[in-house]
Amino acid sequence: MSVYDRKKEYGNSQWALVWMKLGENKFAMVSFWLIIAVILLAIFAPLIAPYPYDAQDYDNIMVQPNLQHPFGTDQFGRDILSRIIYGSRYTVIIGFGTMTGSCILGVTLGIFAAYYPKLDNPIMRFLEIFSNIPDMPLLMCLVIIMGTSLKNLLICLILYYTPGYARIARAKVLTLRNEEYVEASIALGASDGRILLHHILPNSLAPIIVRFTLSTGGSILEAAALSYIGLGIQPPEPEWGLMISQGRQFLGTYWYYSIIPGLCIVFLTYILNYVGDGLRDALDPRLNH
Amino acid sequence: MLRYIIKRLIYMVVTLLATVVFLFTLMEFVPGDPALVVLGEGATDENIVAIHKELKLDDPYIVRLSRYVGNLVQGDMGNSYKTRQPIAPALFARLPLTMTIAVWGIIFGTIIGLVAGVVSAVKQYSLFDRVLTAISLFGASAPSFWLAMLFVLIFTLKLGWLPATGSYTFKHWILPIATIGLQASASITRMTRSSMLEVIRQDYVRTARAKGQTQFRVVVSHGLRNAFIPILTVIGTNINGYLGGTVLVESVFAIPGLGNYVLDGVKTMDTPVVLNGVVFICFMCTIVTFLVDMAYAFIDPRIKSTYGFGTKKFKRARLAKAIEGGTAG
Amino acid sequence: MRENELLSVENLEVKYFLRRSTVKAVNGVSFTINKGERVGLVGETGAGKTTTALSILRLIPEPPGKITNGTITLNGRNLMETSEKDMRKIRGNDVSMIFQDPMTSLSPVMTVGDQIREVISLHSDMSKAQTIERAKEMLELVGIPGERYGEYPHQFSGGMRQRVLIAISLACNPKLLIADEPTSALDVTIQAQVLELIADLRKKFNMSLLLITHDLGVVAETCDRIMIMYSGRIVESGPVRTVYKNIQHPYTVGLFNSLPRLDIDTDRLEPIKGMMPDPNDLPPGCTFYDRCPYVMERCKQELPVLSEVGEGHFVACFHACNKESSNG
Repeated sequence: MSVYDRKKEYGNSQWALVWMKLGENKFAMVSFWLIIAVILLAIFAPLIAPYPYDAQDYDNIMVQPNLQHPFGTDQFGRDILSRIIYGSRYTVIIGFGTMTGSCILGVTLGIFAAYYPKLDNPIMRFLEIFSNIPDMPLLMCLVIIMGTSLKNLLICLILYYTPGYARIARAKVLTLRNEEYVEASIALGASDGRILLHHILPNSLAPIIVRFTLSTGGSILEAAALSYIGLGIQPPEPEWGLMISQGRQFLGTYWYYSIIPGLCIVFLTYILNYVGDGLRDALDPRLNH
Repeated sequence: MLRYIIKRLIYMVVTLLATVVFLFTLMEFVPGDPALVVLGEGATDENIVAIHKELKLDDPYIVRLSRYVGNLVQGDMGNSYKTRQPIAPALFARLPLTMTIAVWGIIFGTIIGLVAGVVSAVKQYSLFDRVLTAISLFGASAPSFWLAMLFVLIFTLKLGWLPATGSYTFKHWILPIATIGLQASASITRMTRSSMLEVIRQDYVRTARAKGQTQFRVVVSHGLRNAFIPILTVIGTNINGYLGGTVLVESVFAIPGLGNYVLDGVKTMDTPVVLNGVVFICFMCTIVTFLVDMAYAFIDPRIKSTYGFGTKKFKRARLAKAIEGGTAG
Repeated sequence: MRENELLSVENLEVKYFLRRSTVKAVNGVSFTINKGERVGLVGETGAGKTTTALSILRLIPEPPGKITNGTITLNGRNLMETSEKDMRKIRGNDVSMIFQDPMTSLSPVMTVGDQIREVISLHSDMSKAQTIERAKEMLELVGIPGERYGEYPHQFSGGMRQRVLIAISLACNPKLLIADEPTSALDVTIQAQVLELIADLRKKFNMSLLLITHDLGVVAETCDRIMIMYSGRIVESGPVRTVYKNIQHPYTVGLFNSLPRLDIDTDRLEPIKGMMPDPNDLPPGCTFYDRCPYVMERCKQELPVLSEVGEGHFVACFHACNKESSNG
């Protein structure tokens, strides 16, 4: 069945086609629904978790996994499963919050840089300096200035991920502006805003979406790393990276304490990356046959 | 080629200088009085004034900036607030530990990643390819500190084969290097595979086959060499990533490297330590980026030629191109 | 096997197995090429010309492609039963190929000299210095100064690159040269030069030539025999003069009518109406039936086979054969 036949079946929208191609990749589809499930888990954590995340039970300290506590308890007798379920809230907020924030900020900066040549050099040079500094050192510098809290962690990560989006958006706008259909609408007297909304943004969405999906996993890893070295979410909050760090001293005897939160991070990042890879393949016009 | 090198060198110095200025400015926003960090609890007003005078903290921003940059160029990084010791020797003492792990990790990661990625691309959709794709995606999705802990759990605590911390014999290096190597190989495998898949469909690979070249040589000398530019970029990113992210692996294995030094600085609000540590990491990253740029030009002659040779030979080639008409791309 | 027969292809079938469908690219092609003979293979894009040529070198990308049937005999040797290792000795040495797009057919990271030298050192025992010398000779032969040995493809224009590719394919004196639309990616002014170069060198080395093209004029100039291909089958073949004087197959007629002519004053060219059938879903009968002005009920049911209508002139068409037999 050719692309044209498929278009007939699924309507003419490019996105319907992409959705359909993604659907052919069974595992990517499963991953996609799993991501939705994790988001729902984060939203409904209080309803799903068997215990509150901060309920201490000094009669049940460092309990091995059993029926009451499927993943055991920690050194304060808190149920690890419940803490993991609550912890998904941090991960989801950080992952998607960071990406939404940096995407909006970066794309805006990129469009400004591309549209106003006077701003181009200052914006892009500044962002280049920013992205020349490796991730952890930059985040450490930002943390020492702002201190540790969820809000500051978000701001740090948003700042860190902004240059990438700005670069994509700028490059896309610059190439698209020379496309004939854009020149045609300029010739027809369309305003900058209209061209941006109707021609440029829809056509630059593909690489931005792929980057969004792939870097969500990245930002989750960064956040976990910062929490692990003590610069991110602070105790007693149940953040996955922090839990790994707290379980470290018990690694020999209670290995599940730090290994299971780690597995959760791996799982979520894995399915995000898988969907990202699938989206990239589905959006790649070179593979369109 | 010389022009290319000089141009990249100038670019490198300018970027580095801008980075230093940026970081110095950033550190201006660190809250609190540095004198309190130096003195700790129970500082008297008199002492605070004395420290301000001693460290020339009350000079205008621009004076302090130029003094800092001037000293830095001469290799003087100033003193730590906490220990009052010079920073530069401390950094250099910690450098070998960090470099050993990063360099060997990247070397092993690159070798494994290249081989796995090439085989995976040549045998696309085979069982090997599928398994390898899954493993490398796992490697790219796992936090490095967690992976390191997993290794410690398995090889130190359960099997008892390798030590996790302690003095630095050959055995002690294995786990940290394996952690970094595995993570690096994951992303290098992924990039090698996709880059190779694109290249082995190119016409020139078919030309090489039509010459009667062996499969191996076709893949390596025609395929891999052409696929190498994006792979090289990923290798460079990886080295920079580990120079920056070394703190995570160092903290699991309790290695007193560069990363831990900077982290201690952050925790104690020791601004000069953080500033200089980060500047130093950026300096090394810039060198890596420069070397990667040089390697690009070495691999791909097209990059060199955009900077021109100025020789007769090249000018004639351009002339021939012009004469023969617009078919040249 | 006849005395001077070099290549014989019999009943070749090639299919591409894609995820959702099977593309029947070549469906039972048979032909022979004699020593020193120049054969033109003509057809529109997608007719299976390139696939046929790649099959001779066993270079069909596999998967998804596969030669599902047929034999290819080169100098009495069955290439279908030859090992991959022996095939490598044949490629570039006995049979070599010039590809369509010179812009993409040379590796951008190797000097052109090394790319020529590669094929020489693969098929000879020469020392490195000798192979370099030979590569320089080859460059001179195709009209490029030997001192440009160390330059890279991006320093050459399209026409020059095609010359380099010709040098690569001729470096080992092959017995058969396959040229796959060697000029279609070039400027019109350079096309003639490159064709002339191929013709001269072919004569010099006394090679056989299989020239793939969609240009009937080029075939008339450079070939002894013509074969016309349509949706994976040869529909008409014969000596160029015979065929051009007495065109039989309606498809060939259509091809000629869509060419501009100098001797007749026409306002409009006549294109062939319709499109080539989908190679996923070929009709059981003649594949040209729905575009053919002389279509009969029989054409839709039965597949016409090549039958001789003149000396060495074969046509696969019921209409043409009927006409011929009623005449004669």
